[in-house]
Amino acid sequence: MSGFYANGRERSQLIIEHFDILSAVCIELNSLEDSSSVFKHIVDSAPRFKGIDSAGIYVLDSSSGEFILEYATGLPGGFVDSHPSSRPGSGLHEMLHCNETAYPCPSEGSSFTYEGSPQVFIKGLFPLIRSEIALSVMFIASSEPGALPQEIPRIMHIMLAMAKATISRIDLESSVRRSEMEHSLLLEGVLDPVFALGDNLEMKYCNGAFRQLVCFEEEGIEKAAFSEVAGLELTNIMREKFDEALDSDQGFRISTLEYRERVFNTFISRTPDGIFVLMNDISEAEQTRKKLNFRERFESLLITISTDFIIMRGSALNLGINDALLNIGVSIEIDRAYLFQFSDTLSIMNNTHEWCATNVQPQIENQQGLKPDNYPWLMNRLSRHCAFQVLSIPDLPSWAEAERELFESRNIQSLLVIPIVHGNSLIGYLGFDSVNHERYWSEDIIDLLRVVGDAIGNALVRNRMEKKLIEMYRRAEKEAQINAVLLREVNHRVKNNLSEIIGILYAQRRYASDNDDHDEFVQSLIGRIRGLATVHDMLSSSGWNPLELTMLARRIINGAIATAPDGKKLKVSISKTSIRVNPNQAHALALILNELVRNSLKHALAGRDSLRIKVRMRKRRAGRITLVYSDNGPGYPEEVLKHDRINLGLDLIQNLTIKNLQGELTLQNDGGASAKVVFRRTRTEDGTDENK
Amino acid sequence: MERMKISRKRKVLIVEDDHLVSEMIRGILEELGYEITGEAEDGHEALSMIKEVKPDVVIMDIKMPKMSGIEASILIQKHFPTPIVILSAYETEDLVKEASEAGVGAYVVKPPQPAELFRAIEIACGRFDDLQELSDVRRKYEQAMKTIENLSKLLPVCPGCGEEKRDEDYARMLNMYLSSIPVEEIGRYLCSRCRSRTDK
Repeated sequence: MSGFYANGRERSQLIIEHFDILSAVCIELNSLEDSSSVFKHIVDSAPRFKGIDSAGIYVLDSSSGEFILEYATGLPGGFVDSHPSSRPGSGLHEMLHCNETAYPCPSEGSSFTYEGSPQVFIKGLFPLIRSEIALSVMFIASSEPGALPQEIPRIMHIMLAMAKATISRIDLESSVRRSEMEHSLLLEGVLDPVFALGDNLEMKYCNGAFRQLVCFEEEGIEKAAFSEVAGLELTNIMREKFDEALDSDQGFRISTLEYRERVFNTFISRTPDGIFVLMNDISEAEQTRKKLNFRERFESLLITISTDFIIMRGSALNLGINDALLNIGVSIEIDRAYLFQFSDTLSIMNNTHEWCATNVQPQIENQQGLKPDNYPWLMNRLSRHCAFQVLSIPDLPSWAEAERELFESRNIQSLLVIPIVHGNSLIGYLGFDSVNHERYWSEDIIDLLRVVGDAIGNALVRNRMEKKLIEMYRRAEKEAQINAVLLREVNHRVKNNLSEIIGILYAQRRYASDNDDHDEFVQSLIGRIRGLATVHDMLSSSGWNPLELTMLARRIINGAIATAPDGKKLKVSISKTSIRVNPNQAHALALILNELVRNSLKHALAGRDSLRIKVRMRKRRAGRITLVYSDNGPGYPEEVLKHDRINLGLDLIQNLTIKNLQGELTLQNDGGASAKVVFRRTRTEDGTDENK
Repeated sequence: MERMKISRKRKVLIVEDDHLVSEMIRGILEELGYEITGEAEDGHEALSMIKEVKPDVVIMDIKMPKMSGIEASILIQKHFPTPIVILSAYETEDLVKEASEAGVGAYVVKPPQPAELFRAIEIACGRFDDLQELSDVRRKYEQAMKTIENLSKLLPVCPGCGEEKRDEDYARMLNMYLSSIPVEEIGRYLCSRCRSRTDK
């Protein structure tokens, strides 16, 4: 091998040449785009080095176990034809199966020489690919026997290293391209706008969604300025956000922005060579969130209103309703909210509560005492107990002429009505007016307002019931007071009657003589006590109110004559009069009449079969009342008229007249005994006639 | 009933507008041994009769025409102080309070047990006598206080400067006091010389 180089200078010249070739090969490899070309190129490049005439690549076919000649250069046609492959067992096959670089080759005992013409001496083997399933081996050959220059294996190694580096580059580039393609595909698949900018805010990439958003239809965007693609509006919005992201410690910034009536949650990330931006379109979510927010707030408001109504009473309820109308009115942005209430018979409806937005004319004063019969369409709709809205007043049917006039007089454009029902009864309705423009209310809102209607309805009914209960309680309390007074009066009267009975007993004992008939004594006592009982009964039945004198006289006289002996004819005539006497006077008159009848029965009826009794009562001047009792008997004895003789009966008549009635008694005979009692109506302290 | 009879026969005025109730009161009082000195039908009549008959005790109803028993009681106590027993069918707390404030000695509900009425009359009279005595004592006390006040003004030495009082006012006041001494009591105020001269 040492003889191969003529001298040192020649050798140095050769090395320089070889490295020149290597540099050229390296440059050539750099322009290749696939591994197959790279391998072919190094095979093609091998004969460019001194001593190498040919080169090729054998690849192991794993299915057949043979090495197949994949590519070759400089080989004589005979070699290629006779050795397109090498089967196991052949010398070439065994040699190719080397695991490592084999150089110089053939080594001892395993050399392979093509004996054809020209001869081919394989001098080195260099595995290109070696793995469990693949093995490809490059060989270099010469037509001359003998060793190649000693630099050749190193050069081959360098070439192979260059080839492998090139293949790595190709693989990497391919991978990058694939990755970029996949990335592009992925970003294109993103529905939200995405774009990437360079350090100078030049466009590097954007997806279709972004193009659509900014209405940029031109094909190429690369290197175009962001403002050129995105437009001035978005550029102005984004500029500040880009700065924030670039200044941020985390390297990214998330913020919300509004652009072209849409809302975006923007993710801006700093990249090594610029900025990456993802604009997540949350318009619908935002709208839904706003709706949910509104619903949540409105529901919360309605719950508060409904809860408040549970504890509200009287004037607090009125304030509560006004407050509720205000809160609802503000929340759903209407112009007027009000409550109408019906009378029990639905004959009248009144606007009882109202709230109006600023600059909207209140109508409550004009809406009092309305007759529901005059509004048949409205009442028809309300009678269904379902909420309804009128989107446009002119669209009302022809039979709603009165309603149209009513609504137009209130400048209503659109109207929502929530009936208030309790049980099956319509008790009122909530009205919501839109005055400035026509308006539609969603079912959600209507459902919630219906809840308010129910709460107000319950509160109104409860309030009405409570008022009725209070009224009933007051009435019962008043009745209880009256009953207490009556009970006290009854107690007083009973005690007085008992006192009078004791008085009668004492008086009767005082007038009794040893000759008196015992039966007569007892009968007279019974008669007097019965008289007391009768007037007590009458007064208690009337609640100790003034009694009609005619009625009193009839009851007392009929009671007294019942004790008359059998077979006697008694005719009683009592004049009719409207005169009423107070309880004390009635009491005294009853006892007087009782004594007069007893006197008639005892003296006038004695020795006769019949007797006529007359009672005449008249009103006289200055509130005087005259009662004349007469019978057609023999009249009073002279000594009685002269007051020479007096019995208990006459004593009672006289004293009851004078003391109890503060009146005057005149006894005379005028076709029989006649007793005239004159007394005054009692006047109460305030000057009114107590007898009335 | 015998036990209840009183040693001194009291004169009773009945004031009652219901004749039969008057009969009851009269009957009970007669049984108890009281003397019925008169019967009035209302407060007015009671006031005019009390002056005439000078009863030891008045039995008075409350509800009467013209003037109620309470009003009459107030006027009687003011002008003709006499023991009063209210006899009424009403027994409300308000009426009992009003009666007490009017100077009534006892309150009895109709119809009364004779013993009950007896006790009421006697207690009312006893209470009335006590009150009269108390009133006399008070009057005497007030008089004594007034005398002491007058006498203190007649001290001959001024408690301020210690000088003997010689001014005209003092002499006038002393003379006024000396002249107010009743003749029958003047002996108590004389000096020993005058007293011996008077004795002679």
